[in-house]
Amino acid sequence: MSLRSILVMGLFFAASFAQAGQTLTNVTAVVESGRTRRMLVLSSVDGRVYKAERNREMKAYLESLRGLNVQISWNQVGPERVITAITPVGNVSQDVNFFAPSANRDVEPTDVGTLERAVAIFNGLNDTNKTRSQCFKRAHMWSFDMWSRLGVISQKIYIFYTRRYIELQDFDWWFHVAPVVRAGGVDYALDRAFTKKPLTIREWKDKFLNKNITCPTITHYDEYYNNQWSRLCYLRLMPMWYFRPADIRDLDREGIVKNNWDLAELQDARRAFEGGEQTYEALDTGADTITH
Amino acid sequence: MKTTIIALLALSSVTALAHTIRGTAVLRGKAEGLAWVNGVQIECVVKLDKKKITNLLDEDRYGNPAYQVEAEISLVSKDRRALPLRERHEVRFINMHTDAEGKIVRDEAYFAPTDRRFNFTIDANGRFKVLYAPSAVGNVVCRF
Repeated sequence: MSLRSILVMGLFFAASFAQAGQTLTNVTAVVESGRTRRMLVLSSVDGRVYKAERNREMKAYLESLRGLNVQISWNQVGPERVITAITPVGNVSQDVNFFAPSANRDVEPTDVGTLERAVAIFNGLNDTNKTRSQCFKRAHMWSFDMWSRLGVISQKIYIFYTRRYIELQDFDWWFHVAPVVRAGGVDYALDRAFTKKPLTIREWKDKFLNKNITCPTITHYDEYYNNQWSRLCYLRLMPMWYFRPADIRDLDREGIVKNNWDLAELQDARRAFEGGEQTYEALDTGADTITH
Repeated sequence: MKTTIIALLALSSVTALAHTIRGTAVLRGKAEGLAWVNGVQIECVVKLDKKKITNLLDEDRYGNPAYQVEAEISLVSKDRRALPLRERHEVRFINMHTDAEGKIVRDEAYFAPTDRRFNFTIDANGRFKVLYAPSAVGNVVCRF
């Protein structure tokens, strides 16, 4: 078995091969599956998990590719992509690593076309019990799933409740967030834990705050932070990469731009869903989670 | 013409700024003041606890949210030269006013929608300044 190029022994899949392809990507993570006898390769260009048979040689080879740009040849077997070859390719001109920041990356939100399509996407999101998870983790995983499964660049809508609202209404949350998908030029919040369908931003806001109240849309975190008594709430639309409110603060105050996925955050976020550690085992960093 | 337009624009932005509230909330607790009505001294006590200061959950034409306040007002006269006065009112106040152009929130001025003779003002720190209240001996203007 060559170290530069490896052919995966996947003969038992041969009968069900339906589609084959190649992906130019970067190896973000290599994980031994705990559920199957597979090696899992997390691809940075599309967030997909490419699978290979697990053995000592394969494990050593795949782990040697971690962080490298590679060409993956694969066969589609049911819902899975099975690696037939994976080869390092050196430097590439394309933007293939969405798990690392890029100064040149400027991705526009995807317009999925119609509300019907947005509804279909909504219905395909992992269902969840809202009491077992925090909204920012759900929103992050849903955003990641839309990107990795459907290639959809989404956004997130944050509602920030002011101190005035929290104190006087005896309210428990200080923010809520949901992913946003654009359809026909209209932004829809896809908050599967709280709503039954995609809602416009206004409709979504009205779900969480009296309809008579408008929440100004802000462009800087300090518009919220410094005005805790003159308004009850603020809205902020953010690119999908921003995981927590602290990321927004850091962007606005320190200029720390996020335009990539962070594996540690995804490892955390996957816990929003029951069995998330197993379902998303390729997102395991081996380290402790960063939030409770 | 150009100067006039610029002046108008400047004026309109000043006007817009003027309607941005600070959102000062009334301080909770007890305020005690004195008033004289027809020569009779009246002690005014206004009590506010935390649970009785809430957002009205309505906003004015500039998007400013209003407060509502439920206050206990006690007006007592111990002046032996006049009829004794002992009145206690529970009054709901709001700071959402109406002017010629519509609804407008004022940080410092509250009134009772059910009886506009009840109203009060606060300072920039939320302290009671003046309470206006009707009573059996006449309208009371109580300063704190």
